[in-house]
Amino acid sequence: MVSIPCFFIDKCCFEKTMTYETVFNQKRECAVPKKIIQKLNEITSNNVSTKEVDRVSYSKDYMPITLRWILDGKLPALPDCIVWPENTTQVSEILKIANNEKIPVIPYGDGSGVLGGSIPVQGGMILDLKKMDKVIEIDDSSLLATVQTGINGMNFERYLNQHSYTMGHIPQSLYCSSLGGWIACKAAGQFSTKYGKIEDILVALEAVLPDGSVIRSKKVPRSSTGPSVERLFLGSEGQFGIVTEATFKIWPYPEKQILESYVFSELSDALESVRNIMRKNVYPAVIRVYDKNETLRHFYDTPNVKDKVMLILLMEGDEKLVELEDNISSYICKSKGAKSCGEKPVKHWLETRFNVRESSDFTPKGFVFDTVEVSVSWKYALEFYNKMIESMREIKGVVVASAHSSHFYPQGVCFYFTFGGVPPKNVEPFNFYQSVWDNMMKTCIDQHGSISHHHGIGLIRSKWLSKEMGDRFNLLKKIKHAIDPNNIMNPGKMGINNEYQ
Amino acid sequence: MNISKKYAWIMDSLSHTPFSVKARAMKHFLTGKKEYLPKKNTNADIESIVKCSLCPNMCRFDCPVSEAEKNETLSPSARARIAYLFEMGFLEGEVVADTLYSCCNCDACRQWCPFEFSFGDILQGVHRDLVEENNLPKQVFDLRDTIEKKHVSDDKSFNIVGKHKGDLLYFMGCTVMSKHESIAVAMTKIMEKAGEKWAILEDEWCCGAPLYNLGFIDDFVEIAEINLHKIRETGCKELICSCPTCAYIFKEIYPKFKLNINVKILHATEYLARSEKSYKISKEFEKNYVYHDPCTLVRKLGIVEQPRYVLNNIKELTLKESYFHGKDTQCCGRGGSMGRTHPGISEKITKKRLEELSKYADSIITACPTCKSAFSDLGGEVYDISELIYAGCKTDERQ
Repeated sequence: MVSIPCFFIDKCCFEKTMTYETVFNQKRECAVPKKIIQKLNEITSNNVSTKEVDRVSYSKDYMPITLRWILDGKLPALPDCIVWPENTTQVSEILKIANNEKIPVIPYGDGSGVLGGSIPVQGGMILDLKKMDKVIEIDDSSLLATVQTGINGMNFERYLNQHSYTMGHIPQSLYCSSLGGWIACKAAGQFSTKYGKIEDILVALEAVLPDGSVIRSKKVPRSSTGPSVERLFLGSEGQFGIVTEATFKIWPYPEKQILESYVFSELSDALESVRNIMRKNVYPAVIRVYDKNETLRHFYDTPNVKDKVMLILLMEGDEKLVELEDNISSYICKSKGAKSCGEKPVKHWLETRFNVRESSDFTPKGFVFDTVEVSVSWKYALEFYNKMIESMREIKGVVVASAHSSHFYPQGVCFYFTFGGVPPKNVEPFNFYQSVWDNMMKTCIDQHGSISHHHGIGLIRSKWLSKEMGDRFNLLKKIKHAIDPNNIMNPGKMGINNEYQ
Repeated sequence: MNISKKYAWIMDSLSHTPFSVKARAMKHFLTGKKEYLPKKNTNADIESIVKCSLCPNMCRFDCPVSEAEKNETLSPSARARIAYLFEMGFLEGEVVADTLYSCCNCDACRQWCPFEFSFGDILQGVHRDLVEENNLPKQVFDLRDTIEKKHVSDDKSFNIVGKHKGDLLYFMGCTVMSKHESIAVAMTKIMEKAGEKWAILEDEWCCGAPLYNLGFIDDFVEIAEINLHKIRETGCKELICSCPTCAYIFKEIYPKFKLNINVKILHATEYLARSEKSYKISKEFEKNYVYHDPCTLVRKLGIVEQPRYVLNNIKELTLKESYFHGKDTQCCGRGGSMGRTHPGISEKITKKRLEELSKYADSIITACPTCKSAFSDLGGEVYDISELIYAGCKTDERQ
């Protein structure tokens, strides 16, 4: 067995980021031995790279603080090599080698994760799944689509649209994320109230375990055959292996859409209206409630929105059904004193929902920011919102502290908080960033919330996962150890091993 | 747009903020970005490169290079990041040059970009800096050398007999001159049939587009000045190009260097739409055709309707539309000189687009000689729109 002296193998590098000068002055070579690289090349028909330029490209995902690091001349980490398999057999062969040689394996889709889940903190091998992007089967009678998981979300949705279907899973990262990433992070899309989150849409999967063995589940609507072990991969963030194929629910493209929006005087009225809509078993595809600050930010062109709370609704599907949903939701909102603003704010949202420019605008100006999505039951929702806003503002340097809600249930709500600010003098940007996160996570747990609704754990939340899970965390660690005894799969994440503390 | 309304949310946020934080935030807002600029003078548009490099790659799914190679390095934002590291002196030209010349310049990215950046435009200044470092991929030097020696990007394969003075100057472009005599014949015959006083340059040179895109600005300006002189000597009132890139370069890039041709510049499809009444097509076209929108024509010149107007007026022709049409078109693979600098990537892109188009019809119609070359080199049956019209007219002549 060869021990691989990877760049950051001994401990997580995360708290001591390297400058580009440090890394390149050392002329750090790939730590994976040449004979292993040769074997990987043989397996993948030469789809392996140890080039400096590729290693730099795969040194990060989209965790916001790393954007700041780019400009500061810092590297979050450095992988040793990148491998692009094209099929399940190749993934299996690669994992067998990695397991034997104890090489860290970091699964990589489109790199849009915002928690650092794809950062190769212990070096090793990036397993990029982008070449596994084939649509394998569309089963029209069962409304199922089976695909390789490296396919880009938008390219898959466009494929479905071409054939008059939709998957109904439209996250803001649709253009820049992969289906494998959606499963790994347990994603939720903008139309989730109607179509469900990824766990509702996923029907079956094929995955390769760290020892190279392959598991497959059945493409059936439901089964009562013991625990659905394959569902461990939902939200697993690459800890248990590589999901190589997946079967998802699809839907005929909706025949009608109704767009409607309302303004309320208070957040409590808007939330109460949505709660009542949910209680009626009415499920508009899109429901979004913006607090007063975010209403001003997103709907500044709508008259009389200052100091108001905006609710937008998008209902789609069968014509009669959506008209009924519109009537019921309209009655409920108006009974809470809401005023209709018509289609325009919803159209504005539809036009701008992928318009991600704040990172590019504000990072170069020295602002540090992030978004934090959490969930809570209705019973605690309003108090939870207030405390979380307060927890952001408590940290000196925070300028922006706001939220919207974009995923709803009869039982509760997801709040999507945004913080932004400038680190106080003599405070490192990362320390400022971490302080806001810590305060929010602590408040979230204290106020009966769950620390993540759909972005996952990655690096930033890893030290909070044990507190979130309580006694279940030990069970998670035991499962991880049983499946991946050599801890090769995405090590240093989720606080399972090499905890980032 | 009312700026104060747009930023009201920030003012609202600041109202909750202590004065010391407010002051610090304002200082950052006003001076922050200067910290991230390179110390040396560069030709690159650093501000745009930084913005692009900080994006989550919202255009990646539509970038032909990124989709063909499946390598994160070749995704637009990662390339911008690499360009930034090169400009800041963290990565050497030798390491990054090949990556930074991998762009089809197709502008697919622009339509998904909140800043409406064209990645090809962003790279242009970076290419100039790479040229100044003199550390370029061999294929890039080879293309420059070819144009320098032969004055075209490929060998000229034929001559068109015509006058050298006239109202309408027909500019063939390098690809037509080297590979597609039939396009030049079709265009000149159609103009003749329309009774135009058309002309052709005695010795046509490259428009300079490859030199401009690859960053050889001195060479570009030199060739552009010669072209300007040659065009003026013809006394033409209008300049008609078969190649969308030639039309774009004359129209949009020459003036940036104060080289104004001062005549109306048209792409062939604009001319064909305008002179539609001067030719009559009676030939029945037996096959189905699908129209491929060339990237430069639709995205840089905004010409979407004219070719469709021309083709839909041919009653005997069955025209199909690909799912990816108009501004949603997909690159043929040869844009940005990729066919010369990165033939492997280029061929993958061509293959993908050809497969897509083949789902709709047996034959492809396009309006760019480079697209025609790309598809026909991989076995596609492809016609330039002018060839199709001329074929229809010829039948008419026989009757």
